[in-house]
Amino acid sequence: MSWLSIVVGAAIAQAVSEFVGLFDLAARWLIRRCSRSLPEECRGRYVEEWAAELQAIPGSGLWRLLFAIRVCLGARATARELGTVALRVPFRSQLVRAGFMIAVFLLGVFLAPLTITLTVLIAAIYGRPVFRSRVVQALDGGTVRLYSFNAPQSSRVGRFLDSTDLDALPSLLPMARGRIWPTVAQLRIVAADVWHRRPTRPFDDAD
Amino acid sequence: MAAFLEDPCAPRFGLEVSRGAGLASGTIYPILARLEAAGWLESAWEDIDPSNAGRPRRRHYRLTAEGETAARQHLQASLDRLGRMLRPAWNAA
Repeated sequence: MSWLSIVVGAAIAQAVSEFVGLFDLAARWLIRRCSRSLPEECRGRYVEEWAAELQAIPGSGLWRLLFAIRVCLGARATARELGTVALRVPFRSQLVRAGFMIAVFLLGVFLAPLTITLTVLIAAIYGRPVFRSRVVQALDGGTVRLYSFNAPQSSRVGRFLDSTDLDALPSLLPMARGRIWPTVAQLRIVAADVWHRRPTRPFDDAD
Repeated sequence: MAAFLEDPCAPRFGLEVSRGAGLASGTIYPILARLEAAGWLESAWEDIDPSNAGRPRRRHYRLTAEGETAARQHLQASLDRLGRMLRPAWNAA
């Protein structure tokens, strides 16, 4: 019995430490994420500054996460002081966007086995490169490289992927991260800044 | 600014300023950015070798000469205001 309790105790301690480690991970991610609202020329500086401050905070990861959240809450104001016009996205839109990101993330997890199977299949049948990519404009003003499966259009697999839009599966990742926004009906991604209702920019085809 | 004036020459990190001023880190960085843009503060990377120190370099802020003068004036002005507000109560006592 005591042997069991030691094992269970160790397992719980390990789980707790993993969980606290997640706080630190989340804190660093938050800082990188909120830095995107800052002007590009000083973004790197603030990320480095905040990351260093983060490390200087003693105690559990919860305090560091709290610091990161507070910094994020003020990031828009910081951006304003640094001279960029902060985009005011209405709260409801943010809610819709957050819900969308979570949904896409879950969809991605659900479809991960299919993605892996297709990767292996295409690599086996057609060889490398398995993916082709194009660079599109991201919602935050930067660029993002979108990957899609690279099967010949004339082949059966290629036609199947094209007709079902499954070739765009790898694009779910940047979508789940909120960097791009899809068209209404399809999985196919638009480069357009639909979110901010700006005119579309044509794809830079990098096939 | 009072946090800076305690020792005008000492450089401070953003985190220390936020503790000294009793403000959340979310509000301190926009303020620091504004003061820096106004020329009251200057900031520079800490002069350490990250691999030797075993931690990343931090950025510190320091009052400029202009910032120090301006901060003293503002502090004096607010003390004067406080004095004027308290004087009637002082006289009545």
